[in-house]
Amino acid sequence: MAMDIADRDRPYVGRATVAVVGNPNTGKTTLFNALTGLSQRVGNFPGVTVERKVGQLALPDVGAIDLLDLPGTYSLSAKSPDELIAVEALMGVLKSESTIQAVLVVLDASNLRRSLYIVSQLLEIDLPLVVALNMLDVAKARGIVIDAPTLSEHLGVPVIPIQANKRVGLDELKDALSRVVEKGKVPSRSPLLSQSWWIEAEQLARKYEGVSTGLVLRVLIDNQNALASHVVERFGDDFTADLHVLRAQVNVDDALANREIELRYRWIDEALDDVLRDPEPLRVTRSDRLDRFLTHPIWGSLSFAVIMAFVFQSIFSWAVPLMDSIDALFGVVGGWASGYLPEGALQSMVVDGVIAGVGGVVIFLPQICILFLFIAILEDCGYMARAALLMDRLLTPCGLSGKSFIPLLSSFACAIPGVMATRTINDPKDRIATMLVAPLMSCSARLPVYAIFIGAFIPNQNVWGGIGLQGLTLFALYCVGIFVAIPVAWILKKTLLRGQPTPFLLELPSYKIPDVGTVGMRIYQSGRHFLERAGTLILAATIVMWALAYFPRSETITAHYESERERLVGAPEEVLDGLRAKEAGEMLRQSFLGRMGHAIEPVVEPLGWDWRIGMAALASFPAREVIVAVLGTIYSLGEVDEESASLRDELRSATWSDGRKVFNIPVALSIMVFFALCAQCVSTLAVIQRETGAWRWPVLTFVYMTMLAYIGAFVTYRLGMALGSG
Amino acid sequence: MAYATEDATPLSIWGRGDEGTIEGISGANQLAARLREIGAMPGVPVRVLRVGSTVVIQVGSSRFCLRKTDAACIKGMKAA
Repeated sequence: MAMDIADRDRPYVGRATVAVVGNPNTGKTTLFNALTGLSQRVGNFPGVTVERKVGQLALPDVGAIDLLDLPGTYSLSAKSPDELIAVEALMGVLKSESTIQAVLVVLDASNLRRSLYIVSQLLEIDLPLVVALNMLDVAKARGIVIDAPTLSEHLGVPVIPIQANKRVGLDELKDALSRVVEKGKVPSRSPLLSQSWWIEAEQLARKYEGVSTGLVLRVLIDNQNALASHVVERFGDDFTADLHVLRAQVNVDDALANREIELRYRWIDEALDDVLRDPEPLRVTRSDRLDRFLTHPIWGSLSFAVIMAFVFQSIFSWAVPLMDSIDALFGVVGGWASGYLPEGALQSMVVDGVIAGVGGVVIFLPQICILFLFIAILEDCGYMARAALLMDRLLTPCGLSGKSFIPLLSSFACAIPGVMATRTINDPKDRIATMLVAPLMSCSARLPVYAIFIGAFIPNQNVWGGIGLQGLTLFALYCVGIFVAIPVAWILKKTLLRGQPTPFLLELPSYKIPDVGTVGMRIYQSGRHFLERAGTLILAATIVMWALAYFPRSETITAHYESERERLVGAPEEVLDGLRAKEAGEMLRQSFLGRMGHAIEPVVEPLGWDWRIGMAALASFPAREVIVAVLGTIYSLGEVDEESASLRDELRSATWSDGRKVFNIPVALSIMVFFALCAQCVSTLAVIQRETGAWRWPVLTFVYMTMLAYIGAFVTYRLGMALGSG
Repeated sequence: MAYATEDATPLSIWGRGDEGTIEGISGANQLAARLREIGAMPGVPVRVLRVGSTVVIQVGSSRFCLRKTDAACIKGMKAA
């Protein structure tokens, strides 16, 4: 796509915006990725903290336009917070710098009847539509025949057959979008409403700034809805009164909301009469046969466990060669920096702070990418819904439903999108309970922490058939979060968030081969996000921690060791090395960090930690990956080695002042359990505040998680020591 | 063929593989509304694909899972 880079940063003003909508699982995201590629970015709707995913698209004759990806929805009568976002954006209730000029609806050809429900509603809003008829290949394979030109005639809007995953039909789609954007609104054909309603609604809409005819019609039909109450809030009592008058005038009663569905389906069936031929609607598909196994109460759960174990094992075994090369690269850069920079504070900051610290975090990029590779594959192939089905049984006793599973699983990647994904949960109490336990799921930022300690202290043994002890330990750590989340959710739902069990309804899409572009985009975005964090938040924290560990420089210590060195001139190299290490150790102990560390030592000692671990854990409260960076910096400052050994070796050789090794398996496990349970992520707490609109929920999350982390680490250490010595 | 309404049974008591047509959805709650919106309207072919505490039903060409207790609100006419 020929797109000027400078163009990308231009404000939205003056540029056409086309919204992409459709039912879930229609390939909407695949199409969005295929059309916009790397130009997409995530921002907010102005004034509200609702995420807004926009990409750029060059249209013939029109030029660059913005494509706005809206959450999937089955209907304009929103039943969950994310559906409400889609509806309010379309209706112009969510303000936008640029108004939406046209709507691209994505339909699943193998599910045409149901997909047309939202089309029948979209025909009543004030925007021109283009219909993309996706997954025709799947439909064809099932013997379904669709006459797209006739459908287009019935709907009165362009219907373009496409195959988003194979990038088929995109040029035709762009042409259709161009024509629609240029031409603007076409006269609407409503399946439900008479012309007189339309005229009345138009008159009412004209009286209020920001109210569209479509919005008036929508709340006229369906007034028992979150949209309706938002509209009343937003446009005031006069609008409500006017609406009331109009309802009486055109004779709308509450029963119409119920009849709406029936009337629309009658219209759909008429429209499809000469369009759709489906000889065998209840045909048993390959997906159904697979599901007999994958959703089987026993075999399904077993395969779920095997899939998860495989994922965690692969994260370890596949990443090693890549990590070694990144590690080697940072070694070279570190050596180069020590050679070129003059000895002193600057050299120390670059080599011991930035390279040892941030470098230590960046090494884990391959593992992050592998984790997201699996998450993206599982999501895109359709397996996630099956996993949610299996998990509903486990989640029901703790007061949640299978709906909570997908946000929780996303939290294994990162709790921030996980918390936002709770918008698909209809019940507000279930939603908050899910948000509060989501940070207990081991996110990708914990992976570097686990990886460094597992790599250093858990023996690399093969347990059974290619599954190693290291992979199993990682799997166990992921389970810690899950097993703690169950009672926490249960208690929340019994106390603060008491409520009726809510229904659980989830579509099981057909299995499909994951789309390479969609999976690639997911890996690219998360990898970039990880590096951006390392380059900003982690870098800043590392420099602060380096400064605390480097200053103040003690003249007395330097003078003392200078005279020692003069006395020992000509002594063997090992003696001088030992002297330097002692000097560095003493320097670190009297630094600001060292002094603080000694103050907190009594608190962390019961966990088996020394003050360095304690300080590193404390420094990790803004973002947990910081621990790896801080340990890198502390050990790099505290020890002298020209070779710059890897952090793993540094940890293995660390000792207490009496010469005992600091780390053993119970200590490593205690640290990992602490990090598994602790709320060490400012961004997550902020997003919980944003999504709930109340401070008490992030505060509660922080308090309960930190307490559990301390208790968990203590129990792990004591248990480990008792088992180890017994 | 004319069916007597009494013969309609809740999908929650259907067995795996049972097929038929939807007779109606009872209730005016959000679940009932959503089921109708996704096409669970009278006359639409339906089949039960999984039984247990969470059931999977096929409505037309879509498949949905829901709890057995919730599936009780969907009444269907089982094909012989």
